[in-house]
Amino acid sequence: MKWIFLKWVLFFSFYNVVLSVAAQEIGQSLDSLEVRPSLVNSRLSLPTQLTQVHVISPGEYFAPPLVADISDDRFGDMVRMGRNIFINTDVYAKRYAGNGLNCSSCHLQEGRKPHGIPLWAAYGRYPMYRHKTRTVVTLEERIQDCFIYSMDGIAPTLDAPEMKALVTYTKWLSKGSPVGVDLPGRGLPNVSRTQDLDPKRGKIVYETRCELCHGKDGKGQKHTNGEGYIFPPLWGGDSYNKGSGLQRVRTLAKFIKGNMPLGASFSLTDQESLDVAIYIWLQERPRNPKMSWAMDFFFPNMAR
Amino acid sequence: MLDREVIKADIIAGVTAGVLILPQAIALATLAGLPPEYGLYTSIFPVMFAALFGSSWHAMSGPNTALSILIAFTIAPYASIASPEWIQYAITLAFMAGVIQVTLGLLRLGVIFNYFSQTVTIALVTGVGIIIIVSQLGNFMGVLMNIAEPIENAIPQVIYGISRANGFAVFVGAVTVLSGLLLKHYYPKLPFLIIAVIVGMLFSTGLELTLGTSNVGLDKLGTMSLSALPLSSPDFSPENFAEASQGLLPAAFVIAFLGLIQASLIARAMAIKSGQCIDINQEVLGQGISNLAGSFISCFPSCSSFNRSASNFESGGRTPLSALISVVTLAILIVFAAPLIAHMPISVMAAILLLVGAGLIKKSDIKKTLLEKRENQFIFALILFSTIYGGVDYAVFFGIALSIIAYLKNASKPEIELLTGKDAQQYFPQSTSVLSVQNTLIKEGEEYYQSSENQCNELNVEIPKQFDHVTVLQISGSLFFGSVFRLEDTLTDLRKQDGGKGDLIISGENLQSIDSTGAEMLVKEAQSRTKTGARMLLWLRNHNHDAVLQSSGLIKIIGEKNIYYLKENNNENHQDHVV
Repeated sequence: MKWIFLKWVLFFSFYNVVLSVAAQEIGQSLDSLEVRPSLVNSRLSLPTQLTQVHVISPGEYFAPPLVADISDDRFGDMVRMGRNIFINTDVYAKRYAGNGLNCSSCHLQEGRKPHGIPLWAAYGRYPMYRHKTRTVVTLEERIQDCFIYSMDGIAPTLDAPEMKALVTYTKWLSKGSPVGVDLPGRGLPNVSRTQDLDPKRGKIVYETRCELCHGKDGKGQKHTNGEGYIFPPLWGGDSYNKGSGLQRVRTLAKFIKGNMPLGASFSLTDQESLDVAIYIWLQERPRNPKMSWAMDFFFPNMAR
Repeated sequence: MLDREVIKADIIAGVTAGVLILPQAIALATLAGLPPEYGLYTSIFPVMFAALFGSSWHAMSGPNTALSILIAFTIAPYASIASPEWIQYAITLAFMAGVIQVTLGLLRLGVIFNYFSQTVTIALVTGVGIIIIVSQLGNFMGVLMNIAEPIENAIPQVIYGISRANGFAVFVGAVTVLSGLLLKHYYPKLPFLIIAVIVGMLFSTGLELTLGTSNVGLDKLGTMSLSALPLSSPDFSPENFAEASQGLLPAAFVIAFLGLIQASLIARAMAIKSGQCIDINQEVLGQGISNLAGSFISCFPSCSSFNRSASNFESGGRTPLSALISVVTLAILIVFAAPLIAHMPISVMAAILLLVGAGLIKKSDIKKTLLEKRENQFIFALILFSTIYGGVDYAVFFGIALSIIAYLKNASKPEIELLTGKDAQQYFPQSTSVLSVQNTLIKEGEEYYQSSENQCNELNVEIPKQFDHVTVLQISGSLFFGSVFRLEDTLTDLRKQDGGKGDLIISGENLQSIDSTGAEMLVKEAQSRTKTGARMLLWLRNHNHDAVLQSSGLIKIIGEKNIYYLKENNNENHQDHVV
């Protein structure tokens, strides 16, 4: 018994050393951000330190390269720039960002987390047909849509350096991943409903499971220095707009089931996820840029 | 100097200039492949430094079309557009150009930019206008185009791009261009660029309100992240600079020269209007300091802008104070306009550049220079062609070479005129000035014989009585080793006519320079003439050429009393004042 306890102590001390070293490395290579949950090096990411992934068997998910392995050349610079934009969008892509969200607000763990819309699973699937636009879109065009809807901002032009950096980061993150294959952990997990959705139940779930981080008013929590969000706002002016993917109740429920609460993914049932999702769906947020007052007037049915 | 009236006029002109510069600053930064912030920085800091250190009181510095194109085409092979490396290269270019310009200014070599032919400048600017228009058609249509492509590829690309064009972008851009052109035509006094921008943005906002932002799908400029003191520094570290040095080093020279050519042209044009006396070396130094200092505050290479200088003068700017006021105005304006500029569609900006590009193609100037001389047509076509096909940098080098050739050709052709008989009389030496003699000649006609004789007799000057034997040789221009043969031809002809026995008066009042070869030619002539008993007289403007004449022995041979000066005791070097 004593031996087992000692083993654990040893393990944890080692673990802490690794963590602190990793945090130092990040602190050196990045700007002086506070280390956020999603910023911790994913060296030990399966299962991770702060977020847990539903692992059925080890080695099930694709393992993206480590941040420390970014090369020290022009390509590496571009990757680093892309990573900076990805985790701190409103500073490094201020030109185009419209709200308080970062790319990594949805693509958790810097776009590495399985079932957290990981970039490495997406890279090999583009260009792809999208129902939303009814055209074949490239990765760049998809990123533009992220900026227009989820970030409620301005689309970076296809030749913008920000765009180039983001695509480079995605490419670097998917080093070794197969092309055109649906990798395990891709996108979000499925949900199926058992009852009709009820925002009242959702409100209770929100208050018990979400409110601690995202706040009672759903406005999230800012860093102590007042710059950027450590926990992203779920509604209000600084959140995603009504045209974005998470505005679909089903997609949001999938996201919640697979990733929320942070560090306890797959802890909510499908029904709970759907209920919270419809509760969040009912809240106020920026308007859909596809809509306008004239369209509201002439084609009221088009508005969702 | 700075009384209330002038200050008031300067404030008005400065505020106008500060508002005017805003759309150009953004558009020219984009033309140079830089984020719009850098255009604004370049419209603030270099303007300030050039106004403080330059010589001209009216020239306004800032981003320049030709330089912007040159920067974009220089850096394009080494970095991706608007990336941090691109910005770094642009700043390094500004530093290098600044160093070159300061060196030229300190060595007092600014004069060489006076010899840059105006035809070459007009051809260059026209070529730049065409390049701008072609390069912006893609942005105008909302289609992504390759930059730095030869024109014969760019035009088909535009045609193929028409099917992919965003109709809304074309509409908004066309509205901007049209409103700009109409304003320029009907209300030339209004600042048409900024009004065109406002009209274009009103239309784009209207479209978005009626059809939905993402349905219209206009590319936009985006939020600017500005800082009050954007520090930067040139980077010559091997890992960043080495691979690009091959392209950047010659480009720095071209940028420095092109900047100074335009700056000196503008300074002179402004001086003609205002009557201010320009020290061209000071102006060169001012430009150099503005680039050098600019490279430490996030500025890309800049030089004086003709449009802005002219409008500054027209709106009443009289001292550098107006430039400083324009800087302050722009800085204040940016703070309020930044959120609006974020939503400025790229097609509107392209439309502004189309207007700027069209403005560079000045038909009247082209016509004037083409009709002036036959060789101008050749130079114009050559430089225009090399600008469009070879790029601005080659065209500048080529233009410098052509200017030198044209200058040498003109310089080796000193105007030599032979005057005999009564025409020669006015050159007859006497104490009164030539002008008054001329007047007397015109007024009194034949009676002149008498009066001049009387005058001269009083002053005890010997006069050759028979004017028929006197020939006057009027030389203007430069008499140097390259042009001496023309003088020789004339003298040979003359000797055939009068057998080398007549008196010869050489009128060198308009003689710019004379070197030892030219002096020797005169010495030879003087020797042969004195042998036959004839005399040679020399008229000069001042004592500038005395040293050369003394060393060649000419003064000894023809005698000091036979040399006459228009201005006595005037040893000052006139070269500086001519500028």
